[in-house]
Amino acid sequence: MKMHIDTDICTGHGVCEGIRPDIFEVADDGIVHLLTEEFTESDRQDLDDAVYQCPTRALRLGG
Amino acid sequence: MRVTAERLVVVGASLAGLRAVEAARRIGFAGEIVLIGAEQHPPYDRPPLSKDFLAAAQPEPHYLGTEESLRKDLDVQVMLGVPATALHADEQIVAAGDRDIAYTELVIATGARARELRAHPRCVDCTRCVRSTMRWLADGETLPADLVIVGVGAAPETGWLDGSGLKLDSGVVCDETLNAGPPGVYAAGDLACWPNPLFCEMMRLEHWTTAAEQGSVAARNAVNPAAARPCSTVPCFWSDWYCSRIQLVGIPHADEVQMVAGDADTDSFLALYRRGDRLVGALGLNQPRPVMKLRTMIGKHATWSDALALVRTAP
Repeated sequence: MKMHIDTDICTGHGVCEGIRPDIFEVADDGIVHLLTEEFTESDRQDLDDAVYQCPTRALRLGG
Repeated sequence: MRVTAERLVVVGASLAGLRAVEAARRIGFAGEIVLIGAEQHPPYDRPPLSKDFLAAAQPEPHYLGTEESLRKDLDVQVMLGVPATALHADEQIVAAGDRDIAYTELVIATGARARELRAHPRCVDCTRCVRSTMRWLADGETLPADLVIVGVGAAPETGWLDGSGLKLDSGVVCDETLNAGPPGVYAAGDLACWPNPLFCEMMRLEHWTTAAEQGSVAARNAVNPAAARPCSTVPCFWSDWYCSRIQLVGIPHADEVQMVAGDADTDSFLALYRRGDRLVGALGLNQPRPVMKLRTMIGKHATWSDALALVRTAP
């Protein structure tokens, strides 16, 4: 699993960080960054939620 | 006529309605799904209507999905331009247009409608009329004004539920799981009034994030009530003012408000809201990083001293 963040679209609303603060973090630049890229199958539901709930649809979960 | 197979009906082709049908499919709901919308449009994003939409040369709504993708990707029967007119909860039927649609599960997501000013329509309906006029206040005072901006909010779109037997009180009154009373009937978004377990108080939120979150929770609970989970939400909204972002997380009803960074006279500050010994809210201007951390803390019932420790150790 790989999480892609479109940094041109992300405006750092932090909805994803609200779902998994151990994975996503809005930094001082106002954009979301990944704190880890090591995901397990048990993370999939939360990552899916983050993708679907992103206000700007800046996240994409790849294989 | 009742359906024997499962049929989830979602009323409101809104953000909450869209998230509801998506969530039902994502957890493997294999029954029929019917999405009913009063407008001709597929689900679209409303916040840009008050911002970019009016400024654009050729305004187009920001659609969240297409009718085709709803039909093909999510196997949803889409009924647009068909306002729901009644709910017969005893018979498990929604009346929409000239049809009666039976359901086994229902998600109500008809949202809220901007309040209209009927008292003085000629004065405020158009900017042209408003310019160079006088405003009369309730106490008799008269103020000259070039432009008047009226902020009277939105009212829950619950008229079609009159007589349904659902409890309506400034919205659709739900339990912690967003169940609106009858089995299988749930509400989500602007019109859902529910006890938020995080703050132990009834809330009705018109926030973008709440609509998205509740749509998903309501649908999951509706199609799998045995695993129903409470809807625990940290309220969260933001507004972008030119290059500045103002964000509020949690609730501002507090015993104490403390400015912990910056200054209200500058373009960056952070204020915390305390109730008892708990952190219940945070307001930030251009403070995206700490605000999101504080949102997480509020969701975990963080103490006031833990919150102060976080902001004081932040780089």
